Amino acid sequence: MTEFIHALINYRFLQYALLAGVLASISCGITGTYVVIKRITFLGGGIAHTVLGGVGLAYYLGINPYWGAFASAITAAVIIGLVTLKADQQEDTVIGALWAVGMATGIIFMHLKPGYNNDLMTYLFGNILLVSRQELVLLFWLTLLIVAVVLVFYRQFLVVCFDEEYSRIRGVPVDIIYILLLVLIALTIVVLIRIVGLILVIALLTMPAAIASLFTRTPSQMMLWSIIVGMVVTTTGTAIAYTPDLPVGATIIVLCGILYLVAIGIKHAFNVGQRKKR
Amino acid sequence: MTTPVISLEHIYFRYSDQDALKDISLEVFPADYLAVIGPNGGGKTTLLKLILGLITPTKGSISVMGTSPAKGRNHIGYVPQYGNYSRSFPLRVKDVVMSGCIQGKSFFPWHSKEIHKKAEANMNLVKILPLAEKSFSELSGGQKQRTLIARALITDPEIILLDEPTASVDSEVERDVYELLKELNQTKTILLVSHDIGFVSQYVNRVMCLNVASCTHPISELKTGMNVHYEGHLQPIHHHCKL
Repeated sequence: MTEFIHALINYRFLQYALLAGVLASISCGITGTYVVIKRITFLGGGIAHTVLGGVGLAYYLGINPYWGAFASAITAAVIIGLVTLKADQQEDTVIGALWAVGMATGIIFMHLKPGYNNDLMTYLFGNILLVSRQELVLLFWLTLLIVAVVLVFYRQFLVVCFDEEYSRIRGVPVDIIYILLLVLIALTIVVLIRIVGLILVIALLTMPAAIASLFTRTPSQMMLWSIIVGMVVTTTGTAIAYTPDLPVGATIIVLCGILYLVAIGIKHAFNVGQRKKR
Repeated sequence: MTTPVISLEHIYFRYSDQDALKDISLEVFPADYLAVIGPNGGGKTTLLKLILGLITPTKGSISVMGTSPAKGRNHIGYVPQYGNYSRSFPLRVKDVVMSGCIQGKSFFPWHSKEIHKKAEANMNLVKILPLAEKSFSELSGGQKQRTLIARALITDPEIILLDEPTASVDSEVERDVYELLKELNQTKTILLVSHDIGFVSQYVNRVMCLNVASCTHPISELKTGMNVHYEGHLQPIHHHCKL
């Protein structure tokens, strides 16, 4: 740990990494809460994995992969949203198909680009230590955008998640609000890709919110605690992984998983205690 | 002559492969307390969705408060089945009640003081004020139903529409819910759908029997000669009404 603190003081890349973790925790704490309460984890997974297609295409065309990730995440969110709201097809089948086709497209473009593409691998598995100043600025603006949109539409998102039919009766534009929510989830996924990679992104999107949901009674409390849990796991995970040179993204997710199990255990013990009191 | 608050004229509705409603006509008047009774799949929920303007009829016309359902639904407080909600959704009772006044232009997370006051008054009216801070998911079926009724009341609607308000509750709670609705009927028009005639016949003014087609009876008929046919048996309703 001393080595990590020493490095943190001296190395800018580590400071950027922790800042990126904090920004990612804010985004995933907020949108992850909606993913958990609306029970759309699979849908989030679909968006996340479709991103590989966009990243691969951008690489192939020589564009910044972030733009590819950004475009494909938003396209996937809109398609999945429309399918969920309008189409007769079973939505899980369509999401599964998009998931697989997105990844397959990414793999094809990786194959077409000559040579081994190490940087592309960081999008698959993430590496918070490679976050550049430019990426940090992008993460900041994306996080600010997510916070601002959720602040404005907080009640509408919540009511649509709780009761779509009632929202429609009350004149809430349910389809637009639902797709906007999915677009925010897509933006969060773009933010998180650099941290844990798109393979593990869904875990960081949902586990902090799931942990928070065990001990909170309102979505705003859940968001706050989810952000705190996210900050703890990204910071601690980076610190744990630093000295033995473990993959940071994977370490963060394993730590998050352990915390989730411990939280479930505590909640269970608390419930048993309450029942005995009665 | 009193103008109906809800009027359905020769309504037909068809899902892709089958008729849900055939030639339904109905008039609901101010201060009515009407129960639509019928078996599962008989078109009760479809009827509610038509009145709420969530779907449009294949044929026929509907008016709510003299206008189209999409506009007239502002005058309706809707109470869906409580069983439709996720059992782990993190909302307190007062949050659920306040969510009833959501609109397309409800921005930012905060509710006005006026909405807080209205929510408190309605929770008091349906006797759930002590539960205001409790999580909605922790409530019993009857308490959830009361919460949803309070949510419907927060916009002070003229009409209350309820979808199976006593489904999955025990007979004591069922009686409580109907007593509460009877009280509300002093100032509101009430239309509810149910698959079980049970207690409802003791409280409502009229019963509409619906099994794709329909017939409507004043409650006096139910309490006299037709009682035997209606009590808890839906087939005899169907037979008796010659649907």
